[in-house]
Amino acid sequence: MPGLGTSFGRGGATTFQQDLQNSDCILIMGSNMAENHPVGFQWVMEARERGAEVIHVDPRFTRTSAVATKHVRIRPGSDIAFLGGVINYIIENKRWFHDYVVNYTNAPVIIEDGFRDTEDLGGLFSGFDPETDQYDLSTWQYKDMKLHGAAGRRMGSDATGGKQESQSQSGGSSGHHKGGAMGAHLEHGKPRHADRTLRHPNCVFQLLKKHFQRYTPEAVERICGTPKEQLVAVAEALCRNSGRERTSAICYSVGWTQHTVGVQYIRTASIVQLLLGNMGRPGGGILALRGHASIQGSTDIPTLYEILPGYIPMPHAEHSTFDKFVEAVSSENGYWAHMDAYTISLMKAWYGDNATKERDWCFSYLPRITGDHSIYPAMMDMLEGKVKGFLCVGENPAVGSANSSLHRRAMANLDWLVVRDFFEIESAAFWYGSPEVETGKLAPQSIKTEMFFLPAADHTEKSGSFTNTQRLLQWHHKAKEPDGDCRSELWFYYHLGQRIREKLRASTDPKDRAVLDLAWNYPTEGPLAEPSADAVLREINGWGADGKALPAYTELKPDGSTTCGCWIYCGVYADEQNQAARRKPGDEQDWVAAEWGWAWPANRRMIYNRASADPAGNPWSERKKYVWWDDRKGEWTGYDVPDFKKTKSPGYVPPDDATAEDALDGISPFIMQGDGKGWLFAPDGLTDGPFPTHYEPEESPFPNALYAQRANPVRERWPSANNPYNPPNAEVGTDVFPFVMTSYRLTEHHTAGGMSRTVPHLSELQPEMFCEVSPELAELRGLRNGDWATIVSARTAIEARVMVTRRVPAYEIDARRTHVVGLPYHWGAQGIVTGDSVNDLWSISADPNVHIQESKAATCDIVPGRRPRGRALTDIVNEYRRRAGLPAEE
Amino acid sequence: MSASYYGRPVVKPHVWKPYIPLYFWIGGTAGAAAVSMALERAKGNDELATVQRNVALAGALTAPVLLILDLGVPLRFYAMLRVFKPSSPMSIGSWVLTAFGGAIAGATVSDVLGAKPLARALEVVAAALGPVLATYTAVLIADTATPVWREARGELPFVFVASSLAGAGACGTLFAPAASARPARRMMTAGAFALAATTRLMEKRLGRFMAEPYRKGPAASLKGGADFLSIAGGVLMRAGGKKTVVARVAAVCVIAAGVLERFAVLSAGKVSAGDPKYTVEPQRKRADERASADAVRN
Amino acid sequence: MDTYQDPAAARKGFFTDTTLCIGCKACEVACKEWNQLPADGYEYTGQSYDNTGELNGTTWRHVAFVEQLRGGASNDPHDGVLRPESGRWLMESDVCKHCTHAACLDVCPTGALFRTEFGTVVVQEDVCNGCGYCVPACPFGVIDKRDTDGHAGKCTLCYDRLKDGEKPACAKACPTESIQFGDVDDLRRRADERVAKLKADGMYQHVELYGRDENDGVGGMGAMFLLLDKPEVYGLPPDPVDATRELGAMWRAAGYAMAALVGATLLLSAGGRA
Repeated sequence: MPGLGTSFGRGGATTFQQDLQNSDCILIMGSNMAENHPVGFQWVMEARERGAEVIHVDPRFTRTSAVATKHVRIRPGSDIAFLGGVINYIIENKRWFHDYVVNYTNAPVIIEDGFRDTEDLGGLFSGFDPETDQYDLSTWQYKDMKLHGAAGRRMGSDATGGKQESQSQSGGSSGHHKGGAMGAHLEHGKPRHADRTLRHPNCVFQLLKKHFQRYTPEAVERICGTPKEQLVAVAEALCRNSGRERTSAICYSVGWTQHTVGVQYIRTASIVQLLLGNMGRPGGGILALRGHASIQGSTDIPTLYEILPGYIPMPHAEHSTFDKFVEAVSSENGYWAHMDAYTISLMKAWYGDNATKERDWCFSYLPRITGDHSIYPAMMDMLEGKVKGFLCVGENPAVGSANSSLHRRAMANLDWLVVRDFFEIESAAFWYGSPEVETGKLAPQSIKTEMFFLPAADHTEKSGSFTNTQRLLQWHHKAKEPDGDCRSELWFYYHLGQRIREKLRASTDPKDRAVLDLAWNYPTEGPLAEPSADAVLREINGWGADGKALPAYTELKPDGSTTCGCWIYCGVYADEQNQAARRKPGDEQDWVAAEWGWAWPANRRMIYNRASADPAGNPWSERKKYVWWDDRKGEWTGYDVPDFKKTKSPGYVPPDDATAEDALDGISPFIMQGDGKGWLFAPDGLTDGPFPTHYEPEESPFPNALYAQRANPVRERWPSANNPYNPPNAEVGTDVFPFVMTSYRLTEHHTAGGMSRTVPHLSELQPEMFCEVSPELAELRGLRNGDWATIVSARTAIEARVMVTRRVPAYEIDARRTHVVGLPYHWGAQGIVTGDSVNDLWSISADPNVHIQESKAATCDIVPGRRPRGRALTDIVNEYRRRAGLPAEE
Repeated sequence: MSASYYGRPVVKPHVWKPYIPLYFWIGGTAGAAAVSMALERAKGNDELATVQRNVALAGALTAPVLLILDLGVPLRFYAMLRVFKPSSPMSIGSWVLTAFGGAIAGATVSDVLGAKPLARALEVVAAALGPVLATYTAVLIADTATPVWREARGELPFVFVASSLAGAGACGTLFAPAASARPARRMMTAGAFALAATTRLMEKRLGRFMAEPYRKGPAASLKGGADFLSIAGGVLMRAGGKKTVVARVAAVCVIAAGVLERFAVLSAGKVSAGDPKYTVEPQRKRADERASADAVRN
Repeated sequence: MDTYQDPAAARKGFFTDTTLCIGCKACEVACKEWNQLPADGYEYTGQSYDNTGELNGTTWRHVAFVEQLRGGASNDPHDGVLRPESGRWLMESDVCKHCTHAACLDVCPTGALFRTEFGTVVVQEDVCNGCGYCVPACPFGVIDKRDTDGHAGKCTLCYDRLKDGEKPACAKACPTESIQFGDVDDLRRRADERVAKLKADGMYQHVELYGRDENDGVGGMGAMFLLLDKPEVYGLPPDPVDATRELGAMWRAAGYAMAALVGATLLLSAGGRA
């Protein structure tokens, strides 16, 4: 997640859920934690029982709100305004943690003279090119210094014209993704120009103050519909619970990331936590709650097109040699300086003895990025028949992706489709059971897609690991062999690879060497010849020249003597032990419980923890001690693995020629950053601004109350007849879709429903698709609790049972009364319980840094009654489109 | 208006099928018939006595069939005699019914085989058990959480006795020759009026709130029918009871009344259990009164 | 308490602290999975998030949801600032109370229902013949007769798990320890302390410990509940009674009625032949 990556250096939750028990105040926002992370939520409950304030800011009063100490309502899509209001409050009332801010953040740094803020340019930053809808980041730099972001998009040449993102997201319902963390490149050591008094008009701190000066409580009330007393109360609670003696934590999830300006939401929270000095401190930090059980793992060992394992960037076309690649992506300072060692070790894991220096480490075998290869553009290409085949594994785009109808129609244009899952999910059944078949848009007999449905083994039928939201790897052991033809992923890909290699064995095409030269020789076991997951884990950990499992990534070498499948996981098999399988009970350990499972990096549970000590290396307070400098021993010590070079003293000053991690001084806790500081201002790494700015969603009933620039100028959009957007406020059609719609999850179901609507005990808990509306909206539109309603967007119409509830309030935005329609998105056409899919309503528009779709705020209408069937459905949708000035559906 | 959880029931209504109210009447009638049988036998009215014995026998043979059909696991009917449990009216009733059936069947067989003294003795045993058979079902339903039954625990036994008396009398009137049936006719008339009176008394004692299930809804029509038929039967008897035809018509009315009354009681029970207010309101009142009494005491 | 075998084991039960309930229904699912109970209906009730509705023969844990929010405009300054002014959403996991004086047990004619060595009330499914008497007898409407196999079913407090020294499935699954399992004596003490603390903190207007009083109509419950409103709001009876308490009076009334039957028959049969 570049939001966290650019702010702190790594895109990942900065702490672990157990640490929440130490918080004095927990802000849960963009998250419904009790409903969607109920087991982790026990730590929030623990904190509450110890007297912590638990504040839930959310458009609805949910099961999280029910047990919070405070619930504050907010219009979907306006969180930056809210958090900006908090920043404004902190600065105006001088409540920032001064010693922390001055020493551990880039607040004192002076920015380029040419930098212009959104206050100057009506909502744009300097460097915007309206021809390309892109920013040139050069005016955002530190004065007289070039800097590369620790994550996200890199500034500088973009010869291909495509986006040089280093992370993306692979599907609608998957939640957000942690970003590629690239080396932050500091050309000349410490920033040249800085003002530790924080008074220079162009220093980061003053720029921050100016940027948020209009985010007053009154403005927040106007934009968010939150009473200003409540905004002040929340800001005050955070301030009161921060500083030396107290810490506050922020928990967020996809309620923040699923916006066209989602990454900036997280940036705003990062700024709050840096100003208040909560990062790297017990009970502080930012807990990014991921959307799935192992989605952290699926960005660490990525299923994303733009990164390699361990967030090494995927090479681009212009990186013709390995050295050119390393030159472009690594950094002089910080641990990313060892990009070569990490990458070479990776190539040794993949290509074994074939990966030699003479063969450029087999670097030429890696695919190259030439544009945006993320899933949404790929699906749109698929719709146009440009994609021949699709392996859809553990994903259900027919229900789970924004504009899911587009996805179903796209899959109908494939030559072949393979779906691997436990059940015949909607993506496998779209060709005979989907709204498109019902309306006649798709006819089964004319769909040419050859459909392969392969049954998958579930987690009890295979060994492997989960990497959860707090970067913790936990091993699970196979309990039984899979039944029938069900097979695990490991089995499938390994044997698929074997068969492909067999077919290509005689080939002389140099392109095929990429497959044939692989070291594809995992040991297999059991009656099904299941590849040994343990062996795979060991390879991920890596081994040295002596063949022994490596203890840490600091042992990785750029000379081809080390092998390592993922450098950030190096250490998980230290001492030839599967560290992820450790199960020492909690009551036999301290509260950090470092001997349960294994966390990356290096089993650190809380990262940036150097910041829990002051510049001299002493804890900020006895109450909040975590990691500190032991002068006698000459090392850092404490309750966790220090996220700092163990022997680097607080007083260390780097010599002029120092490189890599040695170039960072003893008071720079954010060791992955080029300057070692937390970034209030992000000079690089993000496509849409160094500071977060309130922008309205792609679809909104409201203009931007603060700027002429309405929405994120760099957001991704693909307007077409298949993906129309409701025109924004002040254009034709505002009152056609007058309400704000938002979608979310329920505890009882799991994402697109493949693992819950197929299970009787879960299906009966929430059997039918329903919408949540306020009593006022119900009266306005004639909706009755328990009856049916039809919800219409510019894409299509769906039906749902009605729940009239006061938990969804009416909003007063900009003196206008408006309503929110709440939609849990779990239903589809297959399973024990079925219903219409909410994602049919959403358009595809996405955050420009991570390509995550905006599915938390858009516009809709709602009317009583069931939706029409067949041709009549198309008619009603077209009628709405006509009124909105949009082209009709074919 | 008391609070409730979405208007859902607090207690569960009974799950018995129509076999049960039918059994209540058959068993009750059989029990009362056995009493009549013994008394008539003692007076020398053998004709009526034997008719009543046959009525009791018919009831004793039918009753277990009905009960077994109602069971969720009919093949496990024998489990009723697995234990003797005084705290359970159904346990006591199962044993009593079994003993009664054995006695009546034994008496009949003995009679046929000519063992008259044994037959007489067994008849006395049956007659002793008869009243229990006629009243234990009232205790059974009162011993639940169904509001309209529990609150009528003082009156239900009398309602059931009245119905049993009337039923036994009606059966005697129907099946005995007119000459010997006079006591039966009197039992029927008295029973019919008693039925109307005792149900009226029960309703009054329940009070307007708790008697609602008898006044509105499905039970009301059943009860109305029972009331009408029992009064009709009684009036017919007063007016022209000496005529056999009239008496027999009245007997049919009275039997129907008895059956309908049992159904009415079961139905009212279901209604009172199904609406939470009948459970909550009296209990809330009780709890509040107790709380304020405690407060005063302390 | 008259239990099966020597009552050397302490009485086991539940203390359900609804202030910790997040309404996740893990208890419902864990219970059904462990006890191999079928799903019993896929109907949307529109009653907040409760589509389960009630306890019955195939649902032995039921989470109740009661929304108590006030309406009002979104810029009502008191709306959403502090509980309880803005309103609340009550959640409570309901279960069989395993009463000290259990009506179901008292009325069961076959002895299928019995008191275990843990002081819990359990149905022996291989004895029960489905007479249905326990169903209207329970003052909480817990036990029910199943259509699937014809006999009664209810929470066993995971009798099989207790025998192996494990805690019931629901208590094990509950992520916030809203469902607490243990010795009833210990739970009573813990519950009393909790109530005292909550009352002292003043965060809740109404705090009551349902089932604590050993002098109540069922002699105190093996499963207690810390409630934030009156019991009837959750669908619980305010003053439940084991009807067996009045059994003596009922038989007395029956006795009088029996006498009346005999007396009346005697009187009416005087006169003999016409």
